[in-house]
Formats: sequence, C-alpha cells, structure tokens
Amino acid sequence: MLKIENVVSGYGEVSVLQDISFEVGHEVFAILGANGAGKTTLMKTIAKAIPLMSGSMSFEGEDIAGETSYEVAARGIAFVPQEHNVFPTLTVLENLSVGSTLLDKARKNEKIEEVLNTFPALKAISKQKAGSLSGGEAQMVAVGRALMQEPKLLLLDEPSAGLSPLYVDMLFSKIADIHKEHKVSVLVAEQNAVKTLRVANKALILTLGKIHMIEDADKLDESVIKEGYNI
Amino acid sequence: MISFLTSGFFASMLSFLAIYVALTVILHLQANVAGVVNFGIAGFWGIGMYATSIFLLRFNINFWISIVLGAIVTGLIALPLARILLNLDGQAVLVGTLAFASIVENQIFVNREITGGSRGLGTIPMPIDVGPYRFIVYGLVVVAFVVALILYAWKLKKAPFGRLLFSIRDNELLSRSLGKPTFRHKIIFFAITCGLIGLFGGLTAPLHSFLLPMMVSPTVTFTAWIALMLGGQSKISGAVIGVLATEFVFFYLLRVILPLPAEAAQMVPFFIYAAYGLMLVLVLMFKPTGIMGGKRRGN
Ligand SMILES: Nc1ncnc2c1ncn2[C@@H]1O[C@H](COP(=O)(O)OP(=O)(O)OP(=O)(O)O)[C@@H](O)[C@H]1O
Ligand SMILES: [Mg+2]
Repeated sequence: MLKIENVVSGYGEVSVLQDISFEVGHEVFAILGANGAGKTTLMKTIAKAIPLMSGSMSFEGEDIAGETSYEVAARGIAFVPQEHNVFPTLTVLENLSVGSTLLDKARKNEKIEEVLNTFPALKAISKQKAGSLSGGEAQMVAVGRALMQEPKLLLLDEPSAGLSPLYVDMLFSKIADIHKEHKVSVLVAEQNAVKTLRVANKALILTLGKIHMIEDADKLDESVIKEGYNI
Repeated sequence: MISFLTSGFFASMLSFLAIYVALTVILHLQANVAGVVNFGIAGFWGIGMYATSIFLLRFNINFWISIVLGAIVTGLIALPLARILLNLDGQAVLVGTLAFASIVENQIFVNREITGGSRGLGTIPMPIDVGPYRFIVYGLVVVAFVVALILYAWKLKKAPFGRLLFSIRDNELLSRSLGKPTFRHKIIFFAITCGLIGLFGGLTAPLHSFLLPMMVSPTVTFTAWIALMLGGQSKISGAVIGVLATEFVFFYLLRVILPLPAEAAQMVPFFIYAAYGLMLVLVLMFKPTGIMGGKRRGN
C-alpha cells in the first residue's frame, strides 16, 4: 500500500537518508535502528513534515511525492510524531475530536466511543488538558487522535519512548489489536527491537541513514539486530 | 436621569466603550484562538473607518452598505498581508502588523484627494435620523452589533472550526497532519476577523463625524491589547471586563468625576498612559491570567 523508492531526504541541504526503498503492505512493519539512525527522519518524510529531496513515493498506487502533509493525511496516513504529539491546551476529548476533522458529526461521536473503548484509561481523564498528562497517557491520546482519522496506515514514531516496561507491553498489544480489529496497517519506528518484533511481521533496520536489511520478523534474531545497531 | 441617558455625551461614551469591547473580543479571537499576535488593529480599524466614509461621502452609497463594503475592503487587504506574515514567527507578526498600521496611517495622510489628508474627511452624519434621540439610538445599534459579535465568538470557540484553530495555535506542525489545509484556514480566519475590525471601524465613523489621520494611531491598538491583558486572555468575558476596567476607571472616572483644574486636565491623557503601563505591570506580576483568570491557552 505504501511504496518508497530511492528516497533521499534530510534537513536543509544536509541529506540524512540515502537511497531508501521498501514497501509496506497490510501488516505491522517495524523500522529499527540506533539513536540517530534516521528513523524519525524517515517517518517525517513519509508524513510530509519534511520535504523529499529525491526519489518517489506512492500510496495505494497513487503518487504522493509532491503532496503536502494534510493531503497525505486526508488519504489515510495518520502520523504520531515522537515528540510534541498532542495539543497541550486542549482536553483529552478535544484532542480526539480535532483528529476527526474530516468526519461528519455522527461518525465522529461513534469514533470517539470506539477509541475510548480501545483505551479505557482515557475515559477518566477525558476532561483533563493533554499538557498535564503523564507520558503514557499522552501517548495513548496521541495514538487515539491518530485513530480518529480513520487511517489506513498508522505511522508511529517511537511510541515506547519514556514509558515503563508495563506500559510498553500494553501499548504494543494495543497496536496489534488496532491492526487486527481496525484493519489498519502500521509502520512503527522503534529502538526497542525485541518488543517491537513481537508484534511486527517485517522489519527494516536503518544504519546511519541507509538500509542495513529488510527481513521477516521471525527470521531476525538478536545477533543480526546487534550488527545492524553497530554494537 | 432620562435626559442624561439620551444625551450625546452618554451615547458617545456607550458607543466608544462598545467599539473597544468589539476590538478586544476580536483581538482575543485572533491572539488566543488562532494564535496571531496582531499589533495592527488601528490599521484595519482605520481602513474600515475611512473606506466606509469614502463610500458614503464620495460615492453617495447608503451608510449600512458602506460599512459592509468597508469591512470587505479591510478583509481583502488583510488577506495578502496574512499570506506573507503568518508564515513567520510571533515576533515577526507583531512587528509586521505594527508596521502595516503605520503604513496605513501614513497613506491616509498622503493620499489627500481620497482621504482628505490632514484637512480631514467629513461630515459623517448619524445614520439613523430620529431627531435628538439619534445619538442614543445609534449607540444601541452599535451595542447590538457588539452583542452579535460576542455570540459569534462564543459559538466559534465551541465549534469544530474553533477547535481546529486552537489546535493550530497549540501545535501548528501537528495540526498540519490532521487532514485539513490548516494554514489556509488560519489565513482566511485572520482576514475575516480583520474584516470585522474594519466593520467596527466603519461603525466608529459617525461617532467621530470628522476623520483625521491622527485618529488612526497605535493608541487604538494598545488600548485593546491592554484591555485584553488586564481582563484575562483566555475568556471572552475577560475582554469585556478588561475594556470596562481600563476605559471606565481611567478615562471616565478621572476625566469626568474628578474635578481637575484645566491645566491638570490637559495632563490627564499622559497620566492615563503611564497608569495603563503601571496597571499592566501590576497585573502581570500578581495575576498574570488577568482579572477574569482562567488558564492561559497560549504558550
Ligand atoms: N532538525 C534537524 N536538523 C538537522 N539535522 C537533524 C535534525 N533532526 C535530526 N537531524 C539529524 O538527522 C540524523 C537522524 O536523526 P533522527 O532523528 O532521524 O534519528 P532517530 O533514528 O529517530 O533517532 P532517535 O532514536 O534518537 O529518535 C541525526 O544525525 C540527527 O542529528
Ligand atoms: Mg527518532
């Protein structure tokens, strides 16, 4: 559904990603790599938060290389950035509500119910300002908001960052549920390879902005990953 | 008592207060809902006031149509300005809009064939001619406009479009991934609200009855900002209370009720600005959320 070919991108004049090509189908696809490998840069490139320097990108067979962030969002690509991924002065409910700007009112209300059932912990804090939430709560709001867009592809940039191990397990099992129940493809960037590979079908290992390897998740073991992480 | 309520003095006081409430409410919408720091209020207000008067006096167009045309002209001028400025950061917007307002003042001064320049433009009559009651009747019409504006502001903040604007102000990058062209929405919202400032500029014209370029001074902008800061930025009621507090206490109380000798009375305007500043500092020190309080929605 998402096809990336020979993509080069970065910041200003500096290219961080070199010659990236891969394809994401209906699956949970992991982008793994050490700090600074370029995971966030790749996610931002797909979400159009930074411009493409060269290469091509298509979504469901249509060229999206020249589109803007709101255009790809409207096509069904929902982005949860690594940082600043909630609207801090809006309440939890308002954060969810603003996620569905393209839905009509009835559908929006149904969707809010659905997301609150996916993350029941949000019910009790629905009137709280998102800026005052804990890291884990905020992450649930961010993922919930992205689900409000009724995405076909969910981009999650390091959803486990800063969360306790228990929360990470919960979040990953939610991600697996979301994929199964809502028929959403997931592209997840993570440092935490072990836990990610429990839910992912396939993984791409990034090393210094280049693809180290792309492999089915069950064929990846610790030694292969360590090699990719340069440790 | 009745004769006081129908007097030109009371009517003028009421009308000007209402106009300042309107400007402050619009400022609240721009600054606190859309996150745009507009320091060019006087400019947009001045365009509306002059454009309305020009349509009325030079083209003989009915006053009520003229204020609508004046608002449209203001909005159309704000649109390209917003396109240039709103991509920049907050300080650039502040300086840009302030500069814009002084360009407006200057252009009114220079283009004397159209605006009358320093000779002034007039006379703009009261649009509803009901004899001696025309001042208070017009004042009540202005108040009605302001009430309508407040209702609009109140509804907007609860509507999905208002929430979208809040989200842009909160985190513009993230809001761009929501599926709507947020920058376009922000520009259009800014232009429309500037058009509203122009509308209230048009409504001010008959109150002044004779226009001079110096009326389009930054004082208008600062008064609205001070009122907003004082009343509290996050609520519409803050904007209303802020205007009443600043204008009423400082202006009317000092000028009207305190019996000052003539020489001292001349000093009052200067004293008012010093007192404004002092009041602002005190508010920011002891109650930074303003009189009406509430959580600040800005960053
Ligand atoms: N805004 C920026 N401007 C310039 N260079 C940047 C910027 N953001 C990231 N970089 C550089 O791009 C490279 C890749 O960074 P990126 O954030 O994509 O890594 P990452 O894999 O997401 O790391 P982490 O696991 O720490 O989140 C790094 O060398 C970084 O210094
Ligand atoms: Mg990252």
